[in-house]
Amino acid sequence: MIAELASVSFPALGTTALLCVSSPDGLAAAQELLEHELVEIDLACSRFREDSELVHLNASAGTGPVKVGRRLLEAVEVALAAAASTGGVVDPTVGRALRLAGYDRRFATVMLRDGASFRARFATVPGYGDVQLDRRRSTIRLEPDVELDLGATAKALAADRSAHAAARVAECGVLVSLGGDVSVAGPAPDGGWPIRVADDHAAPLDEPGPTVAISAGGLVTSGTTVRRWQAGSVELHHIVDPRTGRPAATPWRTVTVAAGSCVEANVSSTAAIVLGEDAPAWLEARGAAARLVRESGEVVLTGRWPQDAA
Amino acid sequence: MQELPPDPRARTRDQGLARLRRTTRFSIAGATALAGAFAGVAAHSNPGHKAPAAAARRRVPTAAAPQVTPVQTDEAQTPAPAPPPVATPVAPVATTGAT
Repeated sequence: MIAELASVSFPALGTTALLCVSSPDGLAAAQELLEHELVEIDLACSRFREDSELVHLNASAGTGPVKVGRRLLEAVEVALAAAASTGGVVDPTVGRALRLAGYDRRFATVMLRDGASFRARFATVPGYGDVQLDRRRSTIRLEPDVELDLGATAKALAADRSAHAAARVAECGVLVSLGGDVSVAGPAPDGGWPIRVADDHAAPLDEPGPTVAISAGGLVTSGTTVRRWQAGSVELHHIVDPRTGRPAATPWRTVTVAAGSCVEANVSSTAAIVLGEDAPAWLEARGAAARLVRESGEVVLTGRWPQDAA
Repeated sequence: MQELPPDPRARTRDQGLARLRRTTRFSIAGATALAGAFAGVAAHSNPGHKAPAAAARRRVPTAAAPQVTPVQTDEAQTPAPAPPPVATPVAPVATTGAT
């Protein structure tokens, strides 16, 4: 049997958005919805645009609670739940540490900086207990010096939301990938959605690497090889270990996780990078299907990740 | 599967996981409801709207891969755990990798 798919991709959130639908007739409506969702999430959660709600919230740290919109409230709530579920290994209060380390502007602009003369600074991470969220009042209060970065979960949340909403609107199966954070919803094509697992989400589809199919949930790869910048004589990356306030010292080049949602997959893959050698046992304990690749290229599989897709 | 160590933070982690799942379901349910309204508005304001010419179409043979269960889309129910990924010889439609 042959299934006809349709897809479109476009720049979004400092990366690439890919939308794929199982019925070409549904593409226009799904795309319209996805673009709307991305505009909303950027306006709510961007750390790099002055008019975003998150920038306003971060600037309010140490003052009274700030009333926020539904989108930011949800994104922070998801980030706090992720922090609790990982014992603070994936923590949204890494914002200040990330900024001082040099990720203080859109990444494309970071790469234009003279890295040789840039000196990074490092800061302790206050921890998610310093964030008070009141859902009933739609307010968030940050303790002094707390800056949120929602990079680990907001993009995945947007992928989940838009995939499910688009599947309902387009009345077909939908795959949404935001910079390689993949969420699928609706009836999948026979055999599932085939997805290449690579070091870099921007790699061409014929890049060497295993291909796996998922029919529900999410598939996410976290890694330290792509979003890197120079700080003097060293290179830093964007996944901060909240326990040290520094980019995580990890043996893993990439960690790919399949889970019931893109958010869950992203939280697990990010946590695995931070946990280092403890990651395989941690993933096994959660029953997570994952593929971890060491810097040496050695592959470690956990859970029900298929052996023939190592 | 490996047993969890007797970690005093295990309960907090489990509660957090449950919150994460509830929050995700809540968000998806909200998004779906909004999507319905949004679709109605879009349908009325853009009758006959066509897919962009730039949209690429692929023909993907799917017979070689095993049949899988369609995803649950009723947010009123607790979604079943996602089936694990399967290896497939089918040409990929997307790439997951570090951003």
